[in-house]
Amino acid sequence: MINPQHQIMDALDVETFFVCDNEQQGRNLMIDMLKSWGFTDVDIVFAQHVGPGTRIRGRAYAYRPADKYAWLLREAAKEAE
Amino acid sequence: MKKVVVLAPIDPVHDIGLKMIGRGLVEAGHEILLLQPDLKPDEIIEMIFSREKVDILLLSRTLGYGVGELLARFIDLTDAAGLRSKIKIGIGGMAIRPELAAELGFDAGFGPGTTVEEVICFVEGREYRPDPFRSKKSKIDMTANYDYQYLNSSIGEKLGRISEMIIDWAKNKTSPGVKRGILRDELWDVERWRQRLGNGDLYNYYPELCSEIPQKYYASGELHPQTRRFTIEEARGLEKYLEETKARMSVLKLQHTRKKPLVFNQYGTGCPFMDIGHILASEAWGADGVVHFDPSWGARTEGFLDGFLTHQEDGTVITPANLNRIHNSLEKSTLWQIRAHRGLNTPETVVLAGKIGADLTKINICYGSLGAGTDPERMTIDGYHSILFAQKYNMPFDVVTNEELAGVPAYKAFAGMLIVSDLAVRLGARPILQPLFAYSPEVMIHEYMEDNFIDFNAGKIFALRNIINAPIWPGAPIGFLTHTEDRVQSATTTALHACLAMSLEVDAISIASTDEAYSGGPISVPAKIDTLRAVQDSFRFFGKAGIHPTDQADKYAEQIISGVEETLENVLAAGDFVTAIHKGVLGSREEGAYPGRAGKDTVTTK
Amino acid sequence: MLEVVIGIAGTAKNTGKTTTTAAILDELRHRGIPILLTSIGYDGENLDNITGLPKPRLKVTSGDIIATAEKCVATTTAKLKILDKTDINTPLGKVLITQVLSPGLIVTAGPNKSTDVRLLRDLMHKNGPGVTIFDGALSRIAPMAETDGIILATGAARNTNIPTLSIETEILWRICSIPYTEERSKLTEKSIDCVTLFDSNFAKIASSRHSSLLTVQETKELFQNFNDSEGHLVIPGITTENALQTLYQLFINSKQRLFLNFGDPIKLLTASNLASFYRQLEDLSTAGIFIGVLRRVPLLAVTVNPFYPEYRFESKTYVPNYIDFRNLEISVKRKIAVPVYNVERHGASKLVDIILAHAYRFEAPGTIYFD
Repeated sequence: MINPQHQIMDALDVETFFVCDNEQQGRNLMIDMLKSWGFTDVDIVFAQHVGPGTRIRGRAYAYRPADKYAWLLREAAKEAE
Repeated sequence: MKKVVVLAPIDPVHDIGLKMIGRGLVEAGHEILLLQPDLKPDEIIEMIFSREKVDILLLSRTLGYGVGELLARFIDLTDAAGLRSKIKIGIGGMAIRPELAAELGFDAGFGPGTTVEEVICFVEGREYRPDPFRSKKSKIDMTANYDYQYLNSSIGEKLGRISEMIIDWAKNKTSPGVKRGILRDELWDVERWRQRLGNGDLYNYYPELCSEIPQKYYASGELHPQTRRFTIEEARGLEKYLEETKARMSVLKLQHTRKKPLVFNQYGTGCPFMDIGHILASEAWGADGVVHFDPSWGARTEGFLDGFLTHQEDGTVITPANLNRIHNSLEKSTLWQIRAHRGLNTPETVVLAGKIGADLTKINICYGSLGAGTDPERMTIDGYHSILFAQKYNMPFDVVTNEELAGVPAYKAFAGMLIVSDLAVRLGARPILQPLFAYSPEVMIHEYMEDNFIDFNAGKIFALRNIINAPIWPGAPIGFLTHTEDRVQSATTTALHACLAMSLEVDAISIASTDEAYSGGPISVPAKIDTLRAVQDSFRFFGKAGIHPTDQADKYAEQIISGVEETLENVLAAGDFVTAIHKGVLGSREEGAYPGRAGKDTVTTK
Repeated sequence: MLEVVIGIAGTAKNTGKTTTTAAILDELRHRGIPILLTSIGYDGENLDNITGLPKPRLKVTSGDIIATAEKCVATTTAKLKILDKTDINTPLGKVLITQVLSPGLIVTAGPNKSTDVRLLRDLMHKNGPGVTIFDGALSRIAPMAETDGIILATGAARNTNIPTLSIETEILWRICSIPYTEERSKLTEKSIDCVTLFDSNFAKIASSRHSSLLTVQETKELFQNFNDSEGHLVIPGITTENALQTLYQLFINSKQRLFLNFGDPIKLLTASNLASFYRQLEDLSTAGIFIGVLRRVPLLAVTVNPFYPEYRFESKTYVPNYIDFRNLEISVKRKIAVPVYNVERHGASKLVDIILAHAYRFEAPGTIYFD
């Protein structure tokens, strides 16, 4: 069974609209959500609070450059068999 | 060979796509029979049997509901009727995925976005590609149709005098950077190295010309603290990944009915493997060329490391092995540019790029001195030799004007760019002008873009076209300082600037990703695809139509031309090019340009 | 030294086709009978979302002969030795004939045209005696015509209505049970490619240009000059309800008799509405038309599976559900005269007995017999 997260080339972006009072709340919601999904390397790329809520784009890096990418090593593992 | 093709819509209504394909087939000289919509499968078979000879059956299906079962039954029926081994059967339409068609036993499946040519290919028995959405392309030399003649003879004459001044100045001078470039040029045989036959005598002489980090590396194998070597599993994995990706990949063309501009984007995640991942995605989504970004410390270090290295910072370390891996992963049609324009390794970068197989490089003495921290004297001698190497290795190079971003006015940056271009032409090289399409500090202060982003950028192109007949490649990236972290805004501004460039008929553009304004982490691959897609659709929207600047653009052009001329006069008045840089003639401290210090006092007389 | 070529067909996904195939393979192995495994096309339902290739699911062990496409050889966890590369193309590459050296999981992707199935069958034959299994792909039945018999996997996933499911299975069985035509040898020696009408002495009266009889017009034309008391009509391909209806009208008020001969029963199973097609076929006997096949592909057994994934509107998900198994089993058994099993309950021992009962003596390629 392949872990889908391992097949992310570099980053997962999540875009949504949070109903909240201000931008900081929106940012916190996004970070909390990404962390609750098991991501650790998370950030906000963009947030814009206008009236009813925050339009936001969160990012979780599955890999940073120089990490060992499972999408590449999986190929090597196949080769070795 | 003429084919008889039966086209059958298995829907209640005619599919417009099928009609278009029918027309294309007729134009290609084939005979078609377009059946009425909604015939039952056995009625379609009946129609085929009623003809003397049928070679191909093309079905279309736009409705998705129950499509799998319906098509499987259809194929079963043709098999039982004895037709399956006699005719080729293809299926297309909104409801069709190529994988579904393959699984059901069709000879081809054409999904949404299929071109008529792809279907003709199938009909004529040329090889079926599972993803029929992509088209082939080839490398283009954007300098081919330019003779570098001056349209403004007064400017041309001044540039000629400045070039003579530089050539004369450079005669007896050298630097560690130039020496390493010459070593790499003379002692390093790339073919022997590729066959794992070593580096020849190179490393007997090389380390003594390097600064501390590379010296340590050549003495003890110690790496830069932020780099590591790849493991054998990673290297094997890369080969397998490339093999499998290449097998199913082809490249998209972004340009619609125009041929220009070529579209470049950059890579330089720090890791050559991730870079390759990004490059493949860029190529598949239509980039014509890719630009190698190296880390900023590389520009301040004398000498290169060696080996297959990854690195955690922005920018990918230049080593022969890294460049070679990347080179091997490129599609044949992809133009590859390696930047050499700044820093202490400029000449050797050009030699390495040339030997390993880059198509383009990037050199600018003025930007390197004023915006990138290299000592002007050092940058001038290194730049001079870099141009000679670029000429030797037959690599056109762009001359950037990024000092504008620091606050240098466009006309001064252009004067610097024209000086380097003129020098290059005299040395037999082929420079490409690279004005910025940017919301630069100069523009903000003088409110040149108060009404629109078109006139000043267009004015720059008009100015250059009035001075010299040379290729123009706005960059880098276009729309600099108009991008925000908002993905939609960022893709839109890139696309609009791309259309302005297209409309002005420039030769190439470099585009940013939608991560351009985000500084919290590496650029992601979807962010690169965002802008490629945006540019593709904008090109499609405009076709041969265009954007029309107002009269203000011509006024800006005149203003820039007179500024350039005045700047060149000031350079001549300074009596020496390096002195002119130090004096701020090509960009002053007040304007944000500071002569660099890296490599200070390293220029020696032979 | 016996051999037999069996097809395993599923009527829908989740009818337990893979379970049936796996159970038969286990039982054959248990009895030490050589296994030759391949499939008709491949099941895209089972694609790996990331690689886009089918996921390996069937267990194979050392010595098994497997024919599968090149790309599937790359995904297997078993160690394979390639014996032969065929010229049979599939979307996943050419079909390779391989031998298992060490056990693992595999997916088979074989030919998807009848002509290629025939070709592969002959190639597999060269690897010695044993049971050759063609694992069927969903909704593809026509290539099964090239096997010696089929096992049908059906159940609640096809239809949760037990009476409907039983009737459908009955029709399948009845069509597969159409007997050999009486004068079979006289017709098969002629190797007939097109629809052809013979008189009572097997002299050709008329023929069409192709293998299938589809329209009223064609049917009428065939019989224009037919005035013998008895005729033999051969349809190597398919036919339609319209054509059958025309035959009925031609013969209902006539004293003439017609022997209607189909190439094989599987071709009839491709009819778009099987129930009404079969009714039409049955009606022919009242008009003095006798139906037979030139090549039998018997239905050897049916496996039934009470499981079905039920769609829940509230949660918008599928949940496992079952229909009453006893009721299903009895209902199907009542309709057909071949064994009905659930391999999860009954195992595959009896199924394998039935398969072996249809086996025949292996003739090594090049064997010459002296009478």
